[in-house]
This record gives sequence, structure tokens and C-alpha cells, in this order.
Amino acid sequence: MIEIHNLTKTFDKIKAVDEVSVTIKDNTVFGLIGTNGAGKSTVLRMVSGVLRPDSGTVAVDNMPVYNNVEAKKKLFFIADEPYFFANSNARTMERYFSGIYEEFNKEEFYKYLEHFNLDENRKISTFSKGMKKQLALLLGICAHTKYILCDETFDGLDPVMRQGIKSIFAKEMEERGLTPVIASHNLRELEDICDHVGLLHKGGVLLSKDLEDMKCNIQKVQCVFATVDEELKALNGMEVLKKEQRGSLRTYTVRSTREEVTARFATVDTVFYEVLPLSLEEIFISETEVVGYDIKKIILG
Amino acid sequence: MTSKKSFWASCKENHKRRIWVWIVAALAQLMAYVGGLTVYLSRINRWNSQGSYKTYEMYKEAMYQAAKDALGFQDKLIYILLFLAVIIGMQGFSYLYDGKKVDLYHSVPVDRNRRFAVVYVNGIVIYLTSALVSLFIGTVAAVIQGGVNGSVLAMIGFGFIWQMLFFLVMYHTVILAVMLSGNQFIGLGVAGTLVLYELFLYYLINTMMGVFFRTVSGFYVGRGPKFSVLEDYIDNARYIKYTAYAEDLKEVARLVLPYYGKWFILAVVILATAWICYRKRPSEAAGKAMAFPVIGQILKVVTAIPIGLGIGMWVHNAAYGNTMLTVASMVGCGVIVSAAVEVIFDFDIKSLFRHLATSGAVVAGIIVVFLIFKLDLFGYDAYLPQADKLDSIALNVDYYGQFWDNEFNYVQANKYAEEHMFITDTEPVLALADKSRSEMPEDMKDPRVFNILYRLKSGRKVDRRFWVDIANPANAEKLNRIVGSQEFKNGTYQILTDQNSYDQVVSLNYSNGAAKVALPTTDAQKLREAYIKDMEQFDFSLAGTQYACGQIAFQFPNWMEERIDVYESFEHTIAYLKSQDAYYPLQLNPEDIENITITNYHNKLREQADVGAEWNSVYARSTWVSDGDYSYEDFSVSQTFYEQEEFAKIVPVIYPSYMGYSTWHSAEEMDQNYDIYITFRKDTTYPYERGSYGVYYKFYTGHVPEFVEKATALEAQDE
Repeated sequence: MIEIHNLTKTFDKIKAVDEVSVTIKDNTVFGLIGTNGAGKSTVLRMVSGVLRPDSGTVAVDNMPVYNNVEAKKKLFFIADEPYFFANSNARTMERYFSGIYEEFNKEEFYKYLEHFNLDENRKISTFSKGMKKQLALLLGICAHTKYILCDETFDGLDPVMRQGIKSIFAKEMEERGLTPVIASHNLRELEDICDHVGLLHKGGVLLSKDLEDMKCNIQKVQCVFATVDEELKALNGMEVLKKEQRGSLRTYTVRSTREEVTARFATVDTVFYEVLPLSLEEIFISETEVVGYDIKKIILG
Repeated sequence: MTSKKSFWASCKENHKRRIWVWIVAALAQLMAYVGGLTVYLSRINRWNSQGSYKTYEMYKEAMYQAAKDALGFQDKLIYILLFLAVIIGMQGFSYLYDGKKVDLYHSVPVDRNRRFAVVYVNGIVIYLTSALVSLFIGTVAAVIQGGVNGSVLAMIGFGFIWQMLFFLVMYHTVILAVMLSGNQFIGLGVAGTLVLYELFLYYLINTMMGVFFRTVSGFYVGRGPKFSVLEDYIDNARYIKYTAYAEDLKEVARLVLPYYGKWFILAVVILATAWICYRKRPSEAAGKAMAFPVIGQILKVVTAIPIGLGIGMWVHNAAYGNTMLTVASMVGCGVIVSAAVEVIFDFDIKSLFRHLATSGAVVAGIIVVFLIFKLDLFGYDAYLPQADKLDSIALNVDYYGQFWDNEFNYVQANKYAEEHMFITDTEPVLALADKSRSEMPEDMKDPRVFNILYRLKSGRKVDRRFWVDIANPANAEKLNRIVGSQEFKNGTYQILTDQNSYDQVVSLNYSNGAAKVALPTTDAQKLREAYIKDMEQFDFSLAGTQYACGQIAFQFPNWMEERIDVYESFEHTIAYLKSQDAYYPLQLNPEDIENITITNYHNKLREQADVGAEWNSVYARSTWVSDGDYSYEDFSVSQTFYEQEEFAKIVPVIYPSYMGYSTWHSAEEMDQNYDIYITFRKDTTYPYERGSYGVYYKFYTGHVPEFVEKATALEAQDE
């Protein structure tokens, strides 16, 4: 488990991270969402031990991480622009990392390289941006650390590659309890990967929740009521987060479980009703609007 | 580098990315050692084939010397060592300048201290291996050519440690610069500042002292850099290479071992500082100007102030001491440098006036320092030690005699006085120094500069200078006590104390300015003893009232020469000279003279013409003469005299130019208007220096015979 407590970091009088507290549970995919400049990279750099926090603590499996080799053995950090040695190829990088990470799995690495059609002898400088990110991810996965910290690593990967990496993550999570932490400014990038999401805004955490919890507790219902009274009856005592109306078709976003919503609407007279699946984006919109933020401006632009 | 790897395996891993640095280092050192040796040896072989070496031993000796020069204390190696220190230090730690690299290296499970150690040791290994390989190849080449013996090998060893320690200090300085800076450009600037700062500061301080203080002496006590290894290296490597030091390993060891100690301590201190900075350095400093913003501001202040002052002093010189211009240029330059530093730090022209507080500190600092010097706020010129706190004094009075050490290497007069003169009768010196505080040299009739070294009982040394009017009779008694003291003589005339050198006299002769007689070198000690007895009577009164009747010249190895004045009252010396038939009176015998050519330069007319006096008929007849870059109007008139009668009137009133300068006589005692050239008869037995055409003399001022004045007047030439 990675425990981040009241983490603060200032650069040139600008507070990049302001008292961030987040807990990253083992064996989950943690998504760190935020706009550019929200502090995602800074948080990841502090978690990986690159930066020393001004205040607050980062503990990786109860160990402080800054300049702590034992804690760092559990982490692999992939920066937004990963560095590869000059004139190096995949083999060179494997030799370097396999010398550093005791558990580095060379066989697996070369198998994955082949799988992703990455030439082990080709100079990395000739790779595309996406290929470099793939290589960095494969190095990170094969390092067999408990945590892999990815800073904007999935941005720019094509859907096939994303799916490939996602399935490797799933496999590694299942086999050895890998915990990926993925930072991105794009909510849609994380929707199908993350189990838990932390939303950073202006250096602080806006919310941090399990995706399933959020999905289970917020429902979207489309319906046409027979009468206005029926509508009032259906919504009585239910927390409505959002309401839209087109003619007689109403769309509600309500805080409730699917079962509760279905049971309630079954008792009222409706012409039509349907409980719809919510996208991560819609959940965020609903959640953040409640606390007074316009998520579209924060993340979706 | 890794947790599971050994230290040396980590070094090997790191070395993979530094191979090009090793190649550059090896090529540079091969070029220096092997290339240098090849050039030296081929030159010697060429000279040998031309028959320059008369014996095989001489040829061998030249080969040994060449090997010592090329592989031992090679002075020009300093440039290569500096280059290697910069390239090895910068390249090794340059990852700290790149955020992407920092992300990688600081996130992997490698202890930061270990990473520092690996990169650091790898740099040393790169230097050592490239140097040793180059030295080995060079030594083998020298052995094949027959240019190596035990002494050469020892010199190579001494030189190698010398260069290694120099490299270490520079390497550590570059590492420190990297730790303090955030990018390569600033890093190079910081490294340059660290290396040159002390030298520049001392140069500036000495310049300002020389300009604003009138009592700055030539002793330079405590006014040289203390920590600059650059200065140490330049001063000593060349010294060792080009002097007899290269012959004597014990002397080399005596000279270099203190530097080894000093440099090693410096290297350790700088490395420790660099390491502390490394530990404190934030990773986010990568790509910024300075790793620690506060040090950036300190750097701004401590560089802008001396640069401003330095430029101001240059303007002061160019503007003939104009204070307003000097201050304006100092402050202006300080402001410009401050602004430039901010722009460089931020890479943004809009940052010109950032951190106005430190810019203000720069301006204030410049003004304060300027005022300290200009107004002499610390009373530098007024300094006079209390007599009861004074232990002894050394002084040097405009004396241009030559001094040497045990190896016949040149020693400055001040240095010699510092080591050999301990005047304990300090009262007359202090009295003259005190008097000088209220007297300007320009108001004196015949001022002499006294460079003084006060040795205080506390152990402190203070040096000053002051002026004494030797033409003022009121000073005569005090001057007699000073000049007549044995301590003064011991520190001014090496012959009085240095017995050993006189066993190694190469040639010895006596001259009265015209006659020159060789004396047996085996008599050097005998002559010395006679001279020491005569010098007991030497004091200011003697030196100021008598002119030397001749000079004895001792020639020592390494082209060292000492010329000592002989006065007519020096009975022991003259008795010896007479015993050798070497003594010739000052006054020439007219019968030995073929002719006398006298040139009257009419200096006053020339001076008047130079300052733009009115053009008149006299000037109109003059001609323009070019003397190098300088053209002047020539008013000289020369006349040659052939008559014995004329010779008889001239010879009693002339003095040899060869002996013309004396510390204790005014230059005005000789008439600078005239040059007298004596041509001796070819059939004379007078021992003038054969091969020369004659000898130059001067008239005693006020004793120019009337017929000479008339014959060399301008009108006389017109006729």
C-alpha cells in the first residue's frame, strides 16, 4: 500500500502539490486524474522518490521512499518522457534495468518485445513516441516491482496497444499483485483501466474513490411519467444530482443503487423507464458538480 | 550502481556510457606525453646529427632532460588537465542537469551516495588509466631512445603526482560547480568563477592598492593568492622544468611536497563541499540556472562587485584618474553585470531588474569598497608600527643588484632582503617613515623609495614603502645609521654573507669603466675577504660623497653576475687589485686616447620643442629623427676632439657611464646632456676591452669644459 499523507511541494513559490492525502491500495489500478499543472507528475515523482516533499510523507509498504533503496525496489517509475541512453536499443536498456531490479524477467521482456513487434536491436532514438512508451511500460512490467507508476504513459497509445498493456496488467495483477498507478489528464483514457480514481485539481485532491463504488451509487434513469404526481412520487426521498428534460422524456442522475432505483420506478406509473450505464466522465461530472466544480472545465476542457 | 551489483561492476556499467570521455582523455594525454616526447627527442637527435653535442655524455644528458621535460613537469599540460577536469567532471554529473535523466536515475533503487561515488571514482579511473597508459607508452619510447635513468623516472613520478593532484582539485571544483548549477552553461560559468575568482580578486586588490595607496611596497607580503592551484601550478611547473631544480630530486621534493599537501587538503575540502551540495541538491534543479537560488544571488553579488570595480579601475586608468567617471563606470558596470546575471539565470530578458535588493547590494558594495580605497578608510598609508612592538625591519632602496639562491636561480631583491636583512636599530627607519607621511616625493629634491618590511613581535609581517630625500642633510644621520648597519649591508650585498657561492665563480674581473682586467677565479674568496673588511666603513656618507673608482664583477653559474663597487678608500681591496696589476685609476691617461667624440643633445631645447614651444629659427634647423615608434626633433651636435691638450682638460671631469648609476647619488650629478665617447689608441697597452671601439663617459654636472660647450653648441654646427 502506498500512503500519501499531507504531501506538499512548492516550486519557485508556486505550490504544485498542496497537502495531498491519498491511499493507494494494493492490487488495484489507481488512476490519478488532473489537468496539466494539477500536480500529477509531481505527486508521482515524490512517490517514486525523485523529489523530496517540502512537507508530508510518502510511505511505500510503510517505508519512507526518498533515498530509500528498499522502498524503491518496489517501484518502477515511467516518466511522461522516459529517458533512454544515447544510441541504446531495447537490449541495452534491458541490461541496465536487469542489473538494477533483482526480479527483472528477461525472458518475459523479450517475449513481450516480440509480441508488441518492437525490434530489440533497433536504436530507440528511431522509435516513435508511442513505441518508446510501450518499451518503457514493458521494462516496467518486467522489472517485476510491486508498483508501477505511469505518468501519462497511456496517452498516445493506440487502442490495440492499450488493450495489450491492459491485459498484461490484468495478468500481472492476478499473478503477482501488481499495483499500477496511472496518471493522466484524460479521463476517457482511464475509464476502462482504473479501479480507483483520485482527482487532482490545483495541487489538491478533489476526490478519491473506488470506481465501482461511484458506479454503484450513482444511477442514470431515463423515463416518461404518466403524470406529474407519479414523477413526484418516484423521486420522493431520492437524491437527484442532475435532471434533464426533453419534452416528456426525463433523464435523472440520482445517488442510489441500481436495485433501489429499479424498485422505486417499478412502483410508479411510467410510460417508459430505463436505468442506463454511466460513463466515468458522467460520474465525475455528477460528483464534482456537487462540490461546486465544473468538471468539464477541469478535465474535459 | 545497483543494489545487487558490486561497486566495481557498477563502475563498469557507468563506464559504458563514458567510453567517449575515456577516448578523449587518452588521446589528449597521448598527444601531451608521447607527442611532446617525440618532438623533444627528434629535436635533440637532429641537433646531434648536426654535431651540436660534443660528447656522448652531453647528448645523453640532453635526452634525459627531454624525457624529464616531456614526461615529468610539463608546464603546458595544465591546459589539458583543465580540459580533462571539465569534460570528465561535467559529463559524469551532467545527468543532474537533465530532468528526464534525473527521473530515471533518482527513481531506480540505487543509493544516491553510491551513485555519486561510482560516477566520481569512474572519473578518476578515466583520468588515471589514460594518464598511466600515455605515460607508460612515453616512458617505453624514451627507454628505447635511451633517454631514461633513475633520475628521469623519479621526475616522472613526481610530475605524475603533481599533475594528478592538480587534476583532482580542478575535477572536484568542476563537480562542485555542477552541484551548484542547474545547467551546463551556468555550470561552466560557476567553475570558471571558482577557479579564477581568487586570482582576479588579488589582481584587483593589488591594482586598487597601487592606484589609491602611496605606500604600497614591492614586498607583496600576504598579497598573493593563497588557494589558487592555478597560480601554484603555473609558477612552479615552469620553474622546475627550466631551472637547475630538474637536476636535483631532493630540491624538487622540497619544493613540491608542501604543494602536494596543500592541494590534497584543498581537493578533500572541495570534494566534501561538493558532496554536501549533492546531498542537499533538489532534483528539480535540473535545467534551472542554480541548484540553490540563494547561492545564485550570492554569486551575483560576489561577481558583480569585483567586475564593476575592475572595469572602473580600467576606466580610472584610461580617464587619467577622473573620480566621477571611475565611480560612474564602476556602478554602471555593477548594475549591468547584476542585470546580466539575472537574465542569464532566468533565460528571460524581462528579468533584468529582478532581485533589486541584491542589485542594490552590488551598488552599495562597489561604493563602499571604492571609498575604502579612495579615502583610505582603514589608514593603510598612515600605518606606522609602534617601536616597542617591532622586532626587526628589512628594507630595499631602489637597488637593482642581482641575487641568487643556492642553485644560482634569480632571487628578487625584496625577497633577498626579506630573508637576509634583520635591522634591529629601528628608530631611524621609523623616524624617516614618520616624516614621509607628511612629505610628498614631488616636493623632495632627490627622493628614494624605501620598500620596508616590518616584522612585528607578534609574528605578523607588514610591508610599506616611503620616500626619503637623500639630498636633505637633516636625513643624513639617520641614513648613516641605516646604511651603515651591518644588518642592512647583509641584506643588500650578497658577498657579505654568502661564502659558498664564491667557491663557484666562473669568471672574475675588475673594471674602472674603461680598463677591464681578468682576475684568477681561485682568488674569489681572498678578494671577498678583503672586500668584507673594506665594507665595514661603508655608510651613507661614504656612498653619497664618493664615486666608485671601479667595479669587480663576479660571474657565477646560470649566468648570475654580481657587480660590486670599489671606492678609493677600500684599501684592502685595492691592495689586492694592485698585487694582481689589475688596479687602474679612474682618471684616464690622455696619452692612451686616440680621440674623444662628444655629443651634446641640447635636451632643454628638445623638451621645449616637445611641449610645443614657439617655432623659431633655431628649431627650424633641426631635423626629425625616428626612434622606433617615436619621432622627435634632433638637436644633437657631435664634435670629435683629437688634441692631447683637449684630452687633458676632459679626462679629469668625466665618469664612466658603465658605473654611472648609484643608489646614493643623484642622477643629476652627471650631466645627461652629453655623451662622451673615448676611442683608445690602437698601440696603447691600456687594457680597454679589445674588440670594442671605445667607452662611454659622462661629464660631472657643472664641469663641462668651455671649449666643449662652444664646440657642441647649435650655432657651432651651423658654422
